[in-house]
Amino acid sequence: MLIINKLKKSFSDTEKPLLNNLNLSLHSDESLSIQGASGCGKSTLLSLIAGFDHPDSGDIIIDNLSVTESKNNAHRIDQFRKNKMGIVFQSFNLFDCFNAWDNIAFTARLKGNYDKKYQQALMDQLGILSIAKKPLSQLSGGEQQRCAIARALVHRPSLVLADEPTGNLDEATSDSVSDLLYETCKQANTALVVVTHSNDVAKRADRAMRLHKGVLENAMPEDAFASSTF
Amino acid sequence: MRTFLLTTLALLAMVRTRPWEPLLIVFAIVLANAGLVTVLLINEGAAQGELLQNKQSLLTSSLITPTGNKAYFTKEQYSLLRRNGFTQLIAFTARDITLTCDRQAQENKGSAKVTLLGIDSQPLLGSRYRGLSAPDLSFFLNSVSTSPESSKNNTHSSGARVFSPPLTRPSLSNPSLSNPALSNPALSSPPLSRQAGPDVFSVKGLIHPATSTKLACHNRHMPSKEASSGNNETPLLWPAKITASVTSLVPQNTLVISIEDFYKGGDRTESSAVSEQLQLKGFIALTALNNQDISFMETLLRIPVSFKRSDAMNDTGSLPDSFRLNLWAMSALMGVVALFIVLNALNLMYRTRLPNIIRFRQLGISASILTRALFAELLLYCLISIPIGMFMGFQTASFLSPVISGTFASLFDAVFINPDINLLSLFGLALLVTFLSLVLFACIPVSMLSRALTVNHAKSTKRVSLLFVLLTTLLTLLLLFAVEQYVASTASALIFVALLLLSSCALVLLWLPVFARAMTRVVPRKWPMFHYVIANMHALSGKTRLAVCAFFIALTANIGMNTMTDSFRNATEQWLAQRLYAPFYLSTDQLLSSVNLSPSIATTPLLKVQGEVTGVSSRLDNALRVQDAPSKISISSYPIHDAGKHALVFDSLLHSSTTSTSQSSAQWNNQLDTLWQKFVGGEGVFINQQLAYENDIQLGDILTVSNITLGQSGNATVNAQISQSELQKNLAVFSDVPTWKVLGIYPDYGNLNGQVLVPLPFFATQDDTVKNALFSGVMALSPKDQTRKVEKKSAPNKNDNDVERSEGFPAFVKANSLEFKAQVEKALNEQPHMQGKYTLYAKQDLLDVSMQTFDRTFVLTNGLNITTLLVAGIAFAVSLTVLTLGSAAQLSVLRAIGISQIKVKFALFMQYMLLCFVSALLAIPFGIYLAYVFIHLVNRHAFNWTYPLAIDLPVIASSAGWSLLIVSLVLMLPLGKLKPKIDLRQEVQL
Repeated sequence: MLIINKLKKSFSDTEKPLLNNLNLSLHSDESLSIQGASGCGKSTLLSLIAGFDHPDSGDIIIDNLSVTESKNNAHRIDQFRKNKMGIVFQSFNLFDCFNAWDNIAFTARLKGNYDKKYQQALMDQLGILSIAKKPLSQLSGGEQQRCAIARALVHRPSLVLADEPTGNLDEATSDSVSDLLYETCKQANTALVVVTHSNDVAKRADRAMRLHKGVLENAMPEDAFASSTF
Repeated sequence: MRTFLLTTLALLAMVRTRPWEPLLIVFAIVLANAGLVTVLLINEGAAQGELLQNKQSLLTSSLITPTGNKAYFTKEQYSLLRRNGFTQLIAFTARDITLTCDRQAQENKGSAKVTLLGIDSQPLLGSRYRGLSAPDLSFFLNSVSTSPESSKNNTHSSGARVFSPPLTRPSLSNPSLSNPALSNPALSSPPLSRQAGPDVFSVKGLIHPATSTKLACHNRHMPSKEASSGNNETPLLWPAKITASVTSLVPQNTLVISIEDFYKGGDRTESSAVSEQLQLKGFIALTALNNQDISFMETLLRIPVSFKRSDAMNDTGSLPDSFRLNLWAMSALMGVVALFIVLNALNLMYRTRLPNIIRFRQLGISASILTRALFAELLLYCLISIPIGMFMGFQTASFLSPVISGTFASLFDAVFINPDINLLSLFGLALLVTFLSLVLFACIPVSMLSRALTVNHAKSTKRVSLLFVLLTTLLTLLLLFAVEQYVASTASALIFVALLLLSSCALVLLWLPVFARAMTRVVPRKWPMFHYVIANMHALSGKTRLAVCAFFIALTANIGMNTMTDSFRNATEQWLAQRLYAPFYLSTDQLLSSVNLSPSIATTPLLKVQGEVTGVSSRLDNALRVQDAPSKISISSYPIHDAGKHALVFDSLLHSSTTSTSQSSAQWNNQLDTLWQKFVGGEGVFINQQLAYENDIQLGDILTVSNITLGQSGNATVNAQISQSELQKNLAVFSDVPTWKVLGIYPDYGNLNGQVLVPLPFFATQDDTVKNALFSGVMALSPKDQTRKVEKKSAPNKNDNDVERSEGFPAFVKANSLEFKAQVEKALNEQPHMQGKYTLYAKQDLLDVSMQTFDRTFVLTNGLNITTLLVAGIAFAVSLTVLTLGSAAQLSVLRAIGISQIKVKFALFMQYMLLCFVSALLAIPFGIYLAYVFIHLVNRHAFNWTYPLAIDLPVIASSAGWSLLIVSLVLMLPLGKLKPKIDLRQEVQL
């Protein structure tokens, strides 16, 4: 599903590369959590995978499409994001002009695979069906993040990228939301990459990795989670 | 105090992180003040120009001129009078010359004809005249005294008041014969006399500021008064090079020099034999003279003299008033637009600052300190912006002054000068107006903001129901219609315009979300981007409502003004086309009795007298209403032939039945025929709207007219004859004074004064002097068609005289106009006294000139109108750009989920354009209503006339279209540069 080869990225010529010959492979139904110290390049890695930014060298291949080779083809990357990718933001970033239902349906309508029943089932699974018609201003943080997860999944993407999806939530809501995220992705046969500081969120992934000195290291959950440096 | 300072500093520190909103506020204040200062300067320039024009001139008060065959006094006669105690007399002589400004000469531009007035200034020494101050007198004398250089060149001068005989000079009236050396800029600097060639000498003179402005010698700041001659001199070319000082003590279109210099320049218009006798055209009396003095004078001189006491002020009319009213209205409009822009910027700024302001409150800063700090910040913005705005206003006024000056001179015969303004008081005024307006309008949001302790509290907005919106709309409209009934003056009409604009704004604020909500429901969700555009427009309608209001007001005013102008244009064009019934019109300053044309040419002279309406008897109760201040009117002749009848357009006619309100065309025609018969039979008159509205005169009312006098003719000989024979007191103008019953009211577009039309045959006097004095200088000419019967049966006077020469001439349509024109010109040119003393206008030429004049009148208004619209459009676009910068995260999400850059930009563009489109839709009905108010309330009360409102859809569509185009073009720039950056950590602000 996702293959990253010798990825390099630096923000100035003089500094040491943020990502240095980073390699990764991820299967279609696999989930991966990435942890690391602040500023180590976790979000940069997600941005590169999503095609928001371009690497200095290396390759990112998603569903047999090279994101890096398409860097000069903005339309192709836009189409790829629209059709194959779902993104969950730390701050939810829902559209304030829509209610919960329309926010979630937006990506599916864009892709053209809007399925009302599927959306209902998804929302039901996430426990937000009852708030479907409510305006955003009346939703709590947890409800908004669940809406954001539903929006990232409703168009049946191949890959979901989540950047600190529980960063703005309390512990109990965070556990609930992260469980739902992993479960829903698994059921939808969707690959998931989660960048997080939370050990609880990270340990729920199939694979947990740590970004350190520009490369991903396999992190034994007990080692990583025992660390308090994050 | 410390808390206040710290809070203020913290607020200012926020500017560094988000500078766009404060910059928008500064921009709006700059704009408002630039507009305000521009209009103030233009109005002040017009006012000071008018003041100068109206100022009583030193040299036009009391004139004594010879009458009879003798056209000149002599030096000996002057000496005789002075020896016999008439020391208050100043000798003068005059002729027309062509004057060219030095700069214009260099640029090979045109010239202007002025009267060169030579005066004997010596009697002014030591005299006190009409409260003239000593400095004024000293300045006057210094400015016309013969310059030493010229005196040296003058071989006939001996230091005493010796007049020089004319020298042989090149033609005075031909600017091309000015010494070429003078065209060299290097030679134009003072001292002029040393650089002048052998044929050129240097003199000093005086010129009226208005004339100086007309000659365009000054395009720099010019003191309004005759303050100092040093900075105030205008080099003018003649064969002499004149250094003219500017003063309002001299008449307009006149260059005053000493009589010595006058004769030194030569008088080419006279034969050398006469000029050797030093002709004097007359004397100016510095003090009052009575009839005994005049008789004594005639005895001494042994010739009859004419004494003219002129207390008439220059009649500048009230067109500059209309111009000023227009400007004030436009400046108020710009002020309101700018105010909305500022408020919108404040609104946006406070939204973004809300979390910080809440933190201040949560940290224990009181609401009052926070409010004071917010206002202190506003004051700081005012202090920064107002000087910039003033500077821009000054620059704009200077940039516009040549156009305005030209417009004033060509349209109103009025003067516009660069005004003398106290900068400090102007700054104070601008600061006061701006800050007070801001405080007044911003106090509610600021106090709400400073009291907020939670975000939800501050952001809570109530959604209004459709029923509430409908009821509010209904009540507002009813209120407007009710208030409209009470409008009875220009001031109340203008207040009503403001009320209308503000009410319509309130309705827009209510309706905009309703429209947007309705559209959100209607748009199918299967088009997600379009649905997003509409839904987000609904969300934006709250954030951008004030910017939308600014755009809405500008557009409403634009539609209103354009509809008004278009209606006026249509009405004027139709009215003129109908009113000008003859194919040609003759304009001349010659006597009516001297205009002799062949019998095949029908002539209809326009005769006029002046009068006063002193009372009105009501038709209903016969009660006489005495006018406290009699209304001055002109009583004009109107032909009674068929062409004349068809030409007169009526606003309303006296009904046979007062209850009938609607009539068929046949009934109207019958009524018209009956009224014409009454008019011809002397049973009544027609009056113009101006007279009717000003004095509340109804149809059927009877006018009491008195003080019928002959107006000042353009012909000096006629004036002298009138004055001498005292015809004004014993006027027998009308053969049969008609009953002044008002039979009809007619539109008289552009006329500022009341007018009464009486049948031409009633001007039945046989006295040549009176006939000549009655003649207005205009005569309708047409081929005589003998096939049409002249309606003489009802005319009371059947004598075959000048005033009755009119006959029906519908055949002019068929006439070969060129052939007819040639025939008229031949007939006129055969008379030596008419050669070059007349102008022949074709009907179409008059129409064209009138419509060109019309268009020029509205050029400035249109310019200001478009500027206001542009300003509103720019402000709207800037507001939206600021809003877009604030919604970067939302755009980031759009980009993150795969919407292309171009689609995001297009979505934004569509949102904003839809907002504008909805505003434009709402602006159309209010714009039409505004046009109605302009025509039937403002114009009605300000100028006493109205015209039909013509709703022309293309005009309205073009106004709306242009405004949308302006906004779209203005939006293109920021949207084109916008590159929504995708940032996963950006936070969407709800």
